[in-house]
Amino acid sequence: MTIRKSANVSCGPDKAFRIFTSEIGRWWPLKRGFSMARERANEIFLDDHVGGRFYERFTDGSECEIGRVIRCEPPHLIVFTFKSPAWDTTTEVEVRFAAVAGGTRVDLEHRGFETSPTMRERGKGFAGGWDIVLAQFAEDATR
Amino acid sequence: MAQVDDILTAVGYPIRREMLRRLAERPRRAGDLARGFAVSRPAICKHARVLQRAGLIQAAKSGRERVYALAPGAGAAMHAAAAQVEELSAFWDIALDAFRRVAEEGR
Repeated sequence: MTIRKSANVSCGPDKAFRIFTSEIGRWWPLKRGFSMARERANEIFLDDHVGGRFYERFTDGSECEIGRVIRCEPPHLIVFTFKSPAWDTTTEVEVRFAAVAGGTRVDLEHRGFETSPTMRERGKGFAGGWDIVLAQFAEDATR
Repeated sequence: MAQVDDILTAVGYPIRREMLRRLAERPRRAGDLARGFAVSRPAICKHARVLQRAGLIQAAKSGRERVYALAPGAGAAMHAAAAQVEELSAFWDIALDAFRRVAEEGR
């Protein structure tokens, strides 16, 4: 199963990459429930180097690792692992930043809910649902 | 309940989805279940095992043949797996939208 999302932003790749990684705390929707700790959610970090961590720091100062950076090529690419405590498997998120007229195209791929070579065929099972979501996303992103 | 990735694996393949559709009508003998598919019967058995492992179908022996049936709760399990995918998909929509707003601040 692979989830693919795209967004166009009006800044250049350098800034887009920086905001996505070292400034992730400015936008990651922690307070909207996208946290491993919910009400104790406080800070989130994504290191911009290979071997770096993707982690949260809670209000009590304790930390929870979500994943590790496995590829990092600023300002073009970052790949990090992503595991929620609720999942049985470690997944992978790849984010690409490409300069386009008027800004940067950001392509995100969240993959690895299974590990077989027929991954692409499996994804088709949800293609209809994703198409709808993507259409909505494209609408929001270009507004 | 079977793991979500097992279910996604199971339902992500067209032949297996067709098998589930047929079994949703009624339990079927292995020969009946394999009828009309362009793949061999051993291949169908293999697909059936994937569906079984995901907890979506069950098999019972009847004479010399296996009889397959939807497992109790199969529909709910599939629904839960799909919901998890939807949830994650929706999460990235919200996250990327928030990212875009910050990236475009003060330009």
